[in-house]
Order: sequence, then structure tokens, then C-alpha cells
Amino acid sequence: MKQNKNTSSNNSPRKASMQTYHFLRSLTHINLTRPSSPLHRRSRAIRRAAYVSMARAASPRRMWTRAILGRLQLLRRARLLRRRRNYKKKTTISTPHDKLRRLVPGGEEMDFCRLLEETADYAEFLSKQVRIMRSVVDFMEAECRKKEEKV
Amino acid sequence: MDFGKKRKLGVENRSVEALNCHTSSFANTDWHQLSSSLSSWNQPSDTHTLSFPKAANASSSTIGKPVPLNWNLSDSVEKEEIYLSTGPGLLPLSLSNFSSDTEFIERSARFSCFVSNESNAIAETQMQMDIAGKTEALKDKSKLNYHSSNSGSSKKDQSELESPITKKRKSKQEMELHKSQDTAQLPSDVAKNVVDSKQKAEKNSLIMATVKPSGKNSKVAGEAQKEDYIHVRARRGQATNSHSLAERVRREKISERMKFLQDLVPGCSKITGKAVMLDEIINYVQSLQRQVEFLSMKLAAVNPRLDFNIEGILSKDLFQTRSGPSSAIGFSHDMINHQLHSLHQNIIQVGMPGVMNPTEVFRRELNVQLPSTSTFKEAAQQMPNAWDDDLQNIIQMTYGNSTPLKTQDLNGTPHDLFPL
Repeated sequence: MKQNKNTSSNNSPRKASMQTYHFLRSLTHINLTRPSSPLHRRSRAIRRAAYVSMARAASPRRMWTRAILGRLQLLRRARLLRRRRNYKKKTTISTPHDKLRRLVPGGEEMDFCRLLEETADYAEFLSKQVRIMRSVVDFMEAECRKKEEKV
Repeated sequence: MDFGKKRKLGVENRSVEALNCHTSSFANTDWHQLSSSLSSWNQPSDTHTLSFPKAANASSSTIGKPVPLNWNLSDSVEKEEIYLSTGPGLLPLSLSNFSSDTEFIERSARFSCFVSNESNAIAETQMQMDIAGKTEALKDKSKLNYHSSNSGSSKKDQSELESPITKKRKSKQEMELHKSQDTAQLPSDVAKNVVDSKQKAEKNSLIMATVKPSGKNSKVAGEAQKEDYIHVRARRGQATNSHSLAERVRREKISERMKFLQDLVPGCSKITGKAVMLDEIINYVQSLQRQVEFLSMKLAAVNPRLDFNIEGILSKDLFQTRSGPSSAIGFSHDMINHQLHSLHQNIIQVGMPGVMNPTEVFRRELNVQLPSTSTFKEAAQQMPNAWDDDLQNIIQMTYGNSTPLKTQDLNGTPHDLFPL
């Protein structure tokens, strides 16, 4: 799996564009490095890039951004050490909020009130990310079609 | 000693705010009710003197107005004595409203819970009562009033009221709770603003309603015992147990956030009820995550065929921004000039609302770019570091005024990113 180096010192006032920028950059990086790797690996890397670009564009105050970026660090270290650890924590007490906790990164150790807040923020950035990705896909496909037409 | 500490803590807007809220909310009638309901402030009545809530209804404007309390607390006031020194200072208003000392004492006892400092608490409550009793005009001028009152008449009301409660005070949180309490009674929007502002200002600290019953403070303790964080006032007809108060505030927070989420999740305007709403939210987040996964797979499949396109686009952006100032029109790069121009135009067009615009722009860019892809690549490699600022400019221009990709969704993105 590739690693997306999202090192940037962006101070873009437009955070949504920051998200786009991060994502496009990491996408380019993925395409440049090992474009021949198996599809699932690349898709995983792209997915990770999507989440990381989301987290980068969002405020670091949020728990979910920290969780995502922390996960990235862990992944890197895990890869270095060639070890994979599963961080599945089973909560013994099941509440109706459990599902949501599992969905939102970093939502395990938050109280419900905070969880709702984080969910809102996370959902917002998720929807933005989906839009970005969709537009990129559309563009790519259009481009492909044009190329094919030309040929 | 205590006062010094209290001053540091208490001389904060929020506490005064809280006071203002309470005071303004209190009408004379409430006082009477209160006094009548309470035989003696010493007794641990559960102050269902929930005339408070009535008072709260009366005044709403005070909420959210930080009134820095300059506790001209006379150091002479001791714990056991009521905030007299502070109270009077706060109230330029005459104490004529006090119908009786007992009432005063009762109120003070009641309000003392709202104040972390013992004496301050009493003073605050007292002041609140006084002010509330005074007029509702104070609502809007709580700030001024408090200031003037603080500085002005001091220790008018030095009646021997005991400060039943010994609490540390975090004025901000007091205010928050106060506001959150009052918001329930106040118009929702005002409440929301208050609570929102409070929440924004504050960390998401839960209300620590820990009871610290002390002898005669049991009554006051029963009212609203918070330490360190938020002071909540019991509403009329509701339990004044500290736990229930904290829970109520928490519930209000949660409901507020659920409402916000309701706006966020499409098609959830008609849903009432936390459970259903929660399910919808979960479904929405799940669907979004699945979409991301699916799109990433799609991108992985599409990408190999369009190797350099993304790079070209980005490098184009790079060149564009690098060559010119934020206005990407002045391109100095020779080989890319006209292409950049077109790109810039396309990018500008992207700013227009619509989902397809970006793709069209990209298409145009690609078409323009194809002949010079190689040069772009080289150029891109040469300046890997210029991306940040340049692309920022580009992106800024691209998605500058209008929403980046989808108008309806991203309309307020720059501002609504951190709504909570």
C-alpha cells in the first residue's frame, strides 16, 4: 500500500479547496508511485488519501481529525515495523449510540453530546469529500471518453 | 483571601451575566412567591420556588450578556455573611424591592448556589434578586447595571445572609448553565444563540452537579449545585436535584445538536425523535463512507489510464499561480501562457455553480494541456515547492467566490466548517 505524503503548509482560506488540493495531490502521488500495483491496493490508498485530506482540511480540534491522522501515523509505524494491530475495542455495554461511535473515527471515548458534534462535522467533511471524488471521477471518465473518441 | 480568589474567578462576565439573567428574570411577584414558599432560607427546601423560571421567562435579554462583575467585594464580608458586600455593590437599585428580609435571605440562599464563591454567590443571588425586582429594564443593560451597581452602591444590602454554598466558581460555566437553563424558557432562537455562544466559548464541559451539602446550605445545595462549571437554575415544577439539573442541561445540549444534525442530513426535516434521527444519521454516515470507498475504487480503476492528467492539472495550476500574482491572469510563463489563460478562464468558470463545471474545466484544461504535457511534467518536477502558495491562489480563484463543486452544498463551507 502506498503512503500518501500530505505535507503541506497550506493556509488556504478556502478549506473546501484545501480538501480538494490535498486529495488531488495525494491522488497524483498515488498515480506516480507504483501505478501498476494491484487495484485493491490502490483503491485502499486512495481511500486513505481521501480520509487524510478530509482530516487535513478540517480543524485539528476535532476528535475525528486527530483520530484519522493518528491512524495514519500508526499505519506508517506499523508498516515500518511490519506489524499490524487491530484496534477493535468491544464495548461490553451496548447503547443505541454504539453504532455511531463505531462509524465516526475517534468516537469511542466521547460522550454522546460530543459525539453528535463530531458526527456533524465529520458528515460535513465526508459529504465534501464525496463531492470532490465524484467530480474527479466524472472528469476522468470524460477524459477517457474523449480520448477514446479521438482514437 | 476568599475574595481575592473569588475576584479572579468571579470577576468575569459570565457570572455577572448569570446574575443578570436571574435578576432580570425575577419580578417582584416572584420574590413574593419565593418568600412565601420559603419559610426560611435555612431550611433545605427544594426550591421549587420555581418562580425562578417564571422570572427567567420575564427576562431573556440578559442572557448572553457578559457583565463583568467587579466584585467590589468587601473583604469584610465573611463567608457566613451574605454577599452583602458584593451584592450591594452590584445593585445600584434600591433594595426597596425587598419585601422583607426573609425574602431576601431566601433568595440569596437560593441564588447562592449559582455562585461558586460563597459570599459571592450570595451576593450574586442577592443582586440578582434585587435587580430582578427592580425592573426588567435591567435585562438589556445588565452590563451597565452590574458595573454601576458594583462600583456604586456597595454593601447596601448588607444584611446578614449566610452564604450557604461553598463552591468554586467558573463564571463562564455558570453563565452557560444559566443560559442553557433559561434558554429553555426563552425564545428558542435566543436560547440557541446563547447556548451556542456558550458552547462555542466553552469547552464541552459537562455540568458537574456535585452536591456539597453543608448544614444549612442544604436548601441552596438542593437548588443547583454545580462546582466549577455551570450553574443551572431549576425550572418551575422541576426537580432541583443537582443531578437532574445537570442532566437537563445535557439533554438540551443533545437536543440542540440533534437539531443541527437534522439540518445536515438531507431529508430529515420531518423526523421527530432521537432514536429515529439517530438511525438516519447513522445511515447517512454509513452511506457516505460507502460512497467514498466506492469512488476510491473507481478512481483506482480509472487512474491508470489517465496517468499524467492529474499531475498536469496540478502543475498547470502550479504554473499558473507561480507565474502570476493571485490574479492568475498575468502569466509570464512563455510556453504555458495561452494555455494557462484558457485554464484560468476555465477555472474561473468553475466558480460558477454547478457540478459539471469542474469536469468541463478539467476537460478543457486537459485538451489544452495535452500537447504540452511533457513540458508540464518537467516544469512540475522543477518546482515542487511552489505548489502550496500557488495552488492556493489557483484554488482560491477557482473556487473563489462561489462554491467549489456544488453550490448548494458548499455554499457556506468556508464559514460553516466548524459550525459547532
